[in-house]
Parts: sequence; structure tokens; C-alpha cells
Amino acid sequence: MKIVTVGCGMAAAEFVETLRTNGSNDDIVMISNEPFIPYSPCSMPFYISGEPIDTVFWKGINFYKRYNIKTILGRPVTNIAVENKCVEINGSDRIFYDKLFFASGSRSYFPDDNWLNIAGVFGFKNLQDILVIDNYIKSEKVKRAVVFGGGFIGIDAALSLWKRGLNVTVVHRNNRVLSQMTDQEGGIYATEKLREKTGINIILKSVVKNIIVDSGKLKGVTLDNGDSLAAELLIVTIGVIPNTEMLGVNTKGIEVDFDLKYHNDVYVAGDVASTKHMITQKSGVYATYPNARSQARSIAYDILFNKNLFRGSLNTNVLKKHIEFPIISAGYFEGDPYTYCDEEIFRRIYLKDDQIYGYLLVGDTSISGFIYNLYISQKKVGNNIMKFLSLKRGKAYYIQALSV
Amino acid sequence: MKRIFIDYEKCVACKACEIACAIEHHPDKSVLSLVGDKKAHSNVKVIAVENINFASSCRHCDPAYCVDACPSGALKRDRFMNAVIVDPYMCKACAMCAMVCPFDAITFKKTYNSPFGRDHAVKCDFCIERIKIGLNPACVDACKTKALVFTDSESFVKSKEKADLKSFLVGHSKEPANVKLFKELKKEML
Amino acid sequence: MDEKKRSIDKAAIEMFNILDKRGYDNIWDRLEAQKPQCGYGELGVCCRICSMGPCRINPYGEEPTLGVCGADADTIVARNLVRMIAAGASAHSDHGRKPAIILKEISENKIKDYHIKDTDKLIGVAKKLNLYKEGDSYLELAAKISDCALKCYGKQDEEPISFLKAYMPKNRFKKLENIAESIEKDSGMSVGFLPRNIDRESVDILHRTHMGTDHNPLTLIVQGLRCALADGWGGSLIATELQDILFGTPHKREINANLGVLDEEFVNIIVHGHEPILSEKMVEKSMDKALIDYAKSKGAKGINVVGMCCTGNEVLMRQGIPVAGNELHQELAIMTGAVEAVTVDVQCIYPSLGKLSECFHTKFISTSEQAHFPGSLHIQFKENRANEVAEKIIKVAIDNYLFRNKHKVYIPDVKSKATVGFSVEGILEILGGTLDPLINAIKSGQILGVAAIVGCNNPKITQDYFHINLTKKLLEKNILVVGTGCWAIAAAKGSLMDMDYLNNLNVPLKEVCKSLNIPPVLHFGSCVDCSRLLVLLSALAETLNVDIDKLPVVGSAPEWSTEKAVAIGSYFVASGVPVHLWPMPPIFGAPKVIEILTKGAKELVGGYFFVDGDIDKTVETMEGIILERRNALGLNVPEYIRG
Repeated sequence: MKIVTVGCGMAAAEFVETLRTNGSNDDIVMISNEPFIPYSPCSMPFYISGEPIDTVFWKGINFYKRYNIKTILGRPVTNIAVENKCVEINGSDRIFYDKLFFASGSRSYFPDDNWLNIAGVFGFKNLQDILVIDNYIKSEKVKRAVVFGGGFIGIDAALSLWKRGLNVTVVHRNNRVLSQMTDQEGGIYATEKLREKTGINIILKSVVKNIIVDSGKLKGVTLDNGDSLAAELLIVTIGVIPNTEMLGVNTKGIEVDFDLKYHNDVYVAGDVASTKHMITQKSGVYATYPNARSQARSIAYDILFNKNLFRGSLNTNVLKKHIEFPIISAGYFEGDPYTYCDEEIFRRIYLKDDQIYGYLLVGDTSISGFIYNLYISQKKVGNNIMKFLSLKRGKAYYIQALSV
Repeated sequence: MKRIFIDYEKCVACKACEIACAIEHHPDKSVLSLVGDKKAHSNVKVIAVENINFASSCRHCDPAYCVDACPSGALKRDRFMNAVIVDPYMCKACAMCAMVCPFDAITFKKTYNSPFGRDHAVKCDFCIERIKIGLNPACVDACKTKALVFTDSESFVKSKEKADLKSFLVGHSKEPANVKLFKELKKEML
Repeated sequence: MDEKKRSIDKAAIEMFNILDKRGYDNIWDRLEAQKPQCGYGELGVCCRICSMGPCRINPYGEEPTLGVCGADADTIVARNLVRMIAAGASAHSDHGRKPAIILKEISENKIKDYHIKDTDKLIGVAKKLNLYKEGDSYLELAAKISDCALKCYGKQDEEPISFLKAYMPKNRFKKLENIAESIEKDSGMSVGFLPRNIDRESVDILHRTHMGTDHNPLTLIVQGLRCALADGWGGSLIATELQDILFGTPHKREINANLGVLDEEFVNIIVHGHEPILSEKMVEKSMDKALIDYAKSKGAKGINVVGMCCTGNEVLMRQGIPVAGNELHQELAIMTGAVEAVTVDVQCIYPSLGKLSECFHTKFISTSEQAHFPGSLHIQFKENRANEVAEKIIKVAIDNYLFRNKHKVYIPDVKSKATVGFSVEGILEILGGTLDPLINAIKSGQILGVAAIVGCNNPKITQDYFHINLTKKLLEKNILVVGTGCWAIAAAKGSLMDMDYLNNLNVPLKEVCKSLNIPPVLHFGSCVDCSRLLVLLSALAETLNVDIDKLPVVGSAPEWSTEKAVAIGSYFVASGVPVHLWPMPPIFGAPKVIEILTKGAKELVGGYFFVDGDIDKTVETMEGIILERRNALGLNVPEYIRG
């Protein structure tokens, strides 16, 4: 059997590794427009902040050799003919497959395509972006950076640039950063913590309207309120677009059911897949590593053992890199809120029918795993929840275990 | 496969295991070096729930949520003991693992193993180097009431069952009367 | 921690809002951070006496059962316990040494800042000690009494100390002599209960608990009791009696208690610790017009000296100074933001106060050569410069008033009226010069018996919860409650010493108290003033011509925390009074020690310990003891109990 992956990102790497470690001897071809060994987008901001490049290759630098993979790298897939089981590369070369694993990832969204041509304006989505940004900072001796978009990727970018010693400003449309993974109060708490504990300048309820350019190089930005900021570097992180065009699909992700099949022999996973949520069943692109992993493994098991493991995705996330106050969230902020808050910690859990519907934990990780497990198991918790919310050490699990 | 077990009836919360673990994971291997050293760390924590004390640490679950959650290739399973091990070189302290561990067994700290001068995930490493040379994990050797035991999981479960059955049939446990009295009284504390 | 678990005190609960919101370091959080606490320590089976150790005994009966030297759990626990007694007795007795030296220096005209205030007491004590001679001048009496007191610390013969000989009832004295003889006869071991020298008994303990010396739990505990008796009938008694001579014997008076005694418009000075020697001077100087004017020049209305813990009890008893709180109030008082200075002497002062004071303008002033604290301002106290030092401290406080941050001030509007100031002399005065009315009330069952409770707070126990509820329930059983220390402050804060509290009672005791115009709960002073309780028991025993172990009395130290409490409990036991303890003392790792303290002691000395964390059961046990003893005395079981 010939198995082809479009993409060599986290989902594809996990998929291939699962196949091989479960005894697959099939021909495997990995195709990507990127020229890299599988890397971890989670790790790559650390290259900007000064850590070695080999740490981003999370499955090892001998990945392809170790698993006996044929690769077609640095060349874009232009079309996929699902009826013919054929992948078209660069508009000419054709690769046929028995099974196709489609996980081509996503790219940064730019409000104005012209910005792409300006030196000093970058996305923050792939390793190429990171390498170019690093080079640009070195060659242009960049001191000031603006990050437009204070979502997870934006803050991740801002923190790595701040750690590198740059003067960093985040410009964000909402009244708080990380607005997708926080509710009002928790998000404002987290925003204040970021302001207090890092040197990052955060400008809220604003957008970058225009860029100031001189000799093809970025010199600054102007905001919608008319203010301008001098900067040699602009990172645009206001959204991502799934790379689905080669399947002829132009939506926000390819919607699939629990079988993760787009077509008989075509599976989708990762940033391009619109999957069902494990708790709410709502379809959406839940673009985090744990989802990519469980999708990839489920697909590998389906191919090898005809066994489907996938029970849905989760919108859990945590931001902690470079900072000592993790911001953890999951689910949706609807239902009855239960809150514990002090100087260092903000914890809020939303209950519906005595089950956790969403939560936000800022400041430490000590009850996060316990809450996560209550959430995914959808155990009834009721008013007991307050008992756990103020705990400072890893006792929650045992308190519950012993109280039963 | 050998595992570390805790007999919580026997744990007196002396925290000798915490200190032994910190010494074992300190480059100087000396209790004096721990004093005031912010890089020292213990992977085991003695906690109290109601009136029960016990040493709490990583259970090296299999499958383990933390290993599955790690997006940087830092958490791996060791072949020798099937233990869950952190590679500080690959760890980015992103907390994905801690976010899903129900036992709160993973913390973040700058240690002597930090390659990049920042915090990384810190957890029980099973004292694999000790086990390889025929020793017990440091916490087990430190435990003077034998509350921590390092033994084959099957035989431990059996011995426990036997002991429980015995105390059920004979109608008394091995606890001396004075210790029983102490525990009864302690229940009346907050 | 849940606020209701921390305290039942209304002012404390108000302060927890501030504490929780602003995150000040505090004792409850520190306890939480210590948890779980080491079980070897809790059981008492950890020995750190020599450097072959530290050793720990496996409490589950398995290896290791012996320390490196071979000491078993009983030896280790007994040694640790009697060392606690030695430390507690030393704290009280060293306190007692100071008024003895001052009295001596007065008699020698070597000190100008202190005087004999209570000449009646001077004569009374001299008579009691058999030192009184018609025509002696006050200074001559002072010389004799102080010599006698100091000899109790310094003499080297085997005779019992003279204060004990003079104050202990004859029956008790004889009984203690007899037990020692009978132990010697039965076992061939020479032991003694009657202290020969206050300091020596502590030194004896340090000697015999040295590695390789005494390993017999019985002889260790007997020496512990002897050392405790040297405290109760020696050091503490000397402290009380001589302080009365120097500063006046307490008489009934009314005061206010709780944080509400701090006054936002005044310069607030808290005197905290255990001794009255400096604090009496502070009170005196706070009434000095020049200093009050100085305070007014800084914008304050005046100077408000308030007490805390047993220093608070000392000045409350003798001068009617309001008391801001007991042990667990010390941090909360600083958190009011309205305290210019906390002046401390010795004992029960948390070293956390230095760091906490830095969050406010408060000056944390240490004064004793024996007590130093991180972050304190040390102003050395010297007895011969007492006026000058007191004045200096008050000036520091007044100067500090300007630095008070008004936004940080929060004084709970909580204080309770309390009728306090009971001494044996004061009681006799109230009773008309004889104990007969009290004895008759006990005989007739109008009062079932007497419970003596002594203080401490302990963050392991909800503050004042055991104190207040135990006291209330004892009153409901028609038992008169007397006591000292942090218990007394708890009772004052809890309004149990308010005359109005009598209206809540529905037992015959109520009428007795009403007719005497006293509350049902009597404040006998600071923790060294437990000696007043011994004197009272002694007087009752002598009047009835029985030993103390026959009297319908019982003791308790709920919420205890210090080594001093162990010494107090032990001298009550050795004097023939059963004593309740809560929380648990560190003895439960040793079956023989438990046996001796809870059962053997009853047979030997009549007093014994019992440990209980349940208030209802404790009351039941205490009532049972009183009824048993009434029965043995041939006293009737009152009708309201039979019914």
C-alpha cells in the first residue's frame, strides 16, 4: 500500500510515526512545500529568543531516515484529484496513492496583500517565518517590534521577541488579549498580569491601519486612532487561513465526521480539519497539537486495524512559554460561573447541569489537570467545585478520590 | 514491572522522601547543599488529605496524558522502566503536560539540568540511574516506616489483599494501640 | 483556610477580609504551608539529643525500634516531654527571678525607678513565709522576702524550697514525700517530687536527658513533675507574689477587650509579651502630661496603651488597661494599620511581626536582652533606667503617628465589657474575709465544683472556639470557671466575663455570683498567675483539711501551644488536679508514657492527664471527676443533677 501525506507538520509526523511503530511496512511519501524535517510550532519561538534550532525538530533530526520515508519537500501541491487518487505537484508531477493523509496546515492572514512585499513585515506561522525574522533582526539590528493581533500566536510571538530583548508593542482589537481563550474578567486579569510581569506594551481596542515604509523597509505603523508607532518589525497575527485550496475547498476548514474522512481514501487532520467538539459536538477548526495528535493516531489505526478511536476535538489551550503564570482555558464560557481570585491566581469554572462547560485558570497549574479530567469526563460536580478552586497544592484528585 | 507504592496507613508525613529526592537530584548529593538553593527540587511531595498523609508523585501512567500532550518531544517513555521522563533540552515549559495531569505531578522550575537558564518541566524520573545499579529509588530508601515500597506491582497487590483479608478475618490491624489512639484523636483536629 | 475554621472571634473574622484581600503573611497560612507536619514529631519519637542521631522510631512496631544509642520509644518520648517541662518551667521561673532581684535592689536602695506599692501584700507574704517580725521596716521585709525568693533559685541543699513549704497544703506536701519514699522502698530507686532549687530541677532534667543517662520513663516523668512543681509553687508563685508587692495586688475592675480598644484618633501602643516590669512603666508614662501634649502636637488626641497576651493580662489586672487580644490576635492587631508601636518583652511573640510591621508604619520594638526578632527596633530595657526607656519608646511611637497611612486603617468596632482582676486576696475581700461562703456553696451544691482553665491559642484549633464553648458548657453544668492567660482574654472577648452573661445562665451558680456581684467566669491573671489558682486550691484544702486531690476541681489547657503550658499542666497534675489537654501532646508514640501520664499518675499523685478534642465529652469527663470527688468527700449530689 502506498500512503501519501500532504504536509509534514505535527499531524503528519504523528501519523507516520504511529504507522511505523505499529508495524506498517507500507510505502510512505511525505510531500510539503516546506523544506524541513518535521518541526514543532510550539518550540520554534524559542529559536527567536536564542535557543538552538535542533530543539524545534521534535521527532528528531533523523526522522525521515528512521522511519524510511520518501520525501518531496519544498514543492507545493497544486491539485488533488480524489477520484484518480492522485496528487499533483507544481502543476506537473503526479503522485498516486492508496491512502491520502491531508494535513497541509494553515498560513497567516494579512489584511493587505501589499504588506507581504515590505521588508520587515512577517507572519508567525511556520519555521520559514521564524528563520527570516531571526535573520532580519540580526541584519537590520531591529530594536522595536509591533505585533498586530493579541491572540495566542501573537502573544507567543511577542513574548519571544521580548525575551530576545526587543521593545515590543502588541496591538489588539479587543478589550483584552487572548480574547478567544478568555472571558471578560479573566482575560482582563491575564492582560494585566502580562503587563505587570513582562515589559510588553499592550494597546487594546486598536488595529494597525497602515504601515510606514521607507526604501521598501518598514519604519513604523499607524493605528486606527491616528497614533503612529516607530518599528522596524511588524508581525501580523490576526488570523490564519487553512491551506485547503488544492482540494478545491474554500471554506474555513474541511468539515469531517468522527471518521475524519473527506473522501473514501482521503483523511484530513490538523489545521485544515473542521471536526466535532468532544463535548458540544459543534464543528470547528480546533487547531492545537493534542487534537492533531489524536486525529492522526485515529487515522493511522483506521488504516492499519480498521479501528476508529477519535471521539472529537477539544479547545483546550495553555500559554506559559517565557512566563511563570500559565493561562489555561478550555470549553465555552457559558453557564454558571464559579470563581476564585487572589493576587496571583484567577480561576473560573462554568457549569451547566452540574457539569463543566468551560474553564479559565490563570496563575498556576496545580488544579488544572484535575479540572481537565472533570471536564472531559463530564462528571457531575455541582457545588463541590468551590472546595477545589482555592487549593494551592496537588491535592484535588485525592480529596475527590477519598471523599467518594 | 516494579513500581513505587505507598501504604498511606504507614506514612507519618516526615518528608524524609522529599529531602532524599532533592539530594538525589542535586549535583552535590549533599543535604547541606540544599539549604537556600533555589535550584534544588524534590519530585515527591508529602500531602495531607483529611487525616491521611501520603507521598504524592508521578504515577508513570501508561498511556499517559502528559506524554500525549507534549508538543515539543520532551516527554518520553523510557524503555528500561517504562517510566515517563522529561528531556530538559527539548522542553519548552509550555505546560501542556501539566494542564492535563490529574495528580499535579509536573511542576516547572529552573534546575541544575536547565540547559537554557530557564524553567522546564520537573517530575519524578524514577531514579533510573539508581535502579540500573541495583538500588531502590531514593525516596523508598529514605522511608523509615516502609510506607514507600518499590516492588513488583502484582506481588504488592497480592500482599496487600492478603493483609487486608487477614485483618478482616482476625479482626484487627497491625497498628499498635497507641498509634490507633493517636489517629483517632487526630481526627478531631481541623 | 475557611474563615470560620480560623477563629470564632468577631474582630478576627472582620480582619480576615483584609488579610485575605491584601495577602499578608499570617500564622494560618504558615500552618497550612507546614502541613502535613512530621508524624515522628507529632508522636514524640524523634530524638535529636546527640549527633549519632537524629533517630526516629517506627511507630508501627517494626524496625527501627531503637535509636542508635539503644533508646526505645518510651525513653525518647519521656526525655522529650520532660525537656519541654524544663523549658516551660524555666520561662516562668526566670520571669520570677526579675521581680525578686528588683525587690532586693529596692531594699538595698540600688534602684530608683521602682517602689513597693502594696505594703499589705508585703506583710502578707512575709507572714506566710514566716519572716515577719513586729517592727520590721518595709525595706527590711523586702530584703528578707527577696533573699528567701532568691535562695529558692540558688541554695544547694536537699531541702524543699521555702516558698513551696510555706504555700503548699500540708497534706499535699506529706503525700509527695510519702510517694517518693514508697517508690524507693518498692524499687530501690531514689526519686523526689519536692523541688530543692528552682533552677536545679531544670538543670537536673537537662542532665538526666543527656545521652546515656536516664532511660526510665517513670523516673524521667517524676523529675518532670518535680521541675513543674518548682515552677508552680516556686518561680511562678514568686513572680505573682512579688509583682503584687511591686505593682499592687489586683482587685475587681471592669475593662474592655478586643481590637476595638484601639482608637483611631490616638497614638496606639500595644504592650505584648509576659512581664509587667516595663509595661507598668509604659502605662505610667502614658499618663504623663508632657508626653500627652507631645502626642497632641503631632495631631493625635492622646496616648492609648493597650495590652496583648499576658503582658496585657498583667496591666489589665492591676491597672485596668484594655486588652486588644490574645495570642492569635497579635498579627491581626498590626493589620489594623492603626498601631504606632508594638512593644514586646518575652515569650509568645511571633517573629513574623517584624516582616508584617514593614507592611505598615508600625514600629515593632523589642526590649529584652533575652528576646530578639528579625526586623525589630531594639530599645534595650534596663531596670535602673526604666522611666527613661519607657519615655523613649512612647516618643518613638508618637513620632511614628505622622507616618500612619489612613487608607490602611481598619479597626473592627468590636469590644466586650469584662469584669476582671481576681486575686485570692480580692476573692477573700469579696467573700468577707473567709473562704467559707465559697466552701459552703460548694458543699451545698450551689456550685458543683471549680474548673481552672489556662490559655494559649493554637492555629490548629479554631481560635477561642474550645475556650469559649468549654467554658459555656461547664457553666451550664453549674461549675465555676476560673483561669488565666489567653483563655482569660478569650473569655473576656467572648463576653463571658460581662456581668450580663449571668442572665444567660439557669443554674444555681447564677445566684451565688449575683449575690457576690461577680461574673461566673473569673480572670485570675497572666499565665504565671496560675500560681494564684494553686494558692486558692491550697486555701480551700487547708480550710477543709484535705489534700488537693480530694477537692472537686479539674483543670484544662484547651488550645495549648507552648512548653509553659506543659509545665503548668504538669504542676497541676502533681498538685492533685486532673488536667484536660487539647491538642495532643507529643507522647503518643510511647505506650508506657501514655500509661503513666493518664493512669499511673492518678494512683501516684492524684492528678493525671486526659486528652480529648470533643468538647461535650470533655465536659462530661470533667463533670464526672467533680462528681466522683464530691462523692468521696461525702458531699451530696445536688438535686438538679439527680433530676
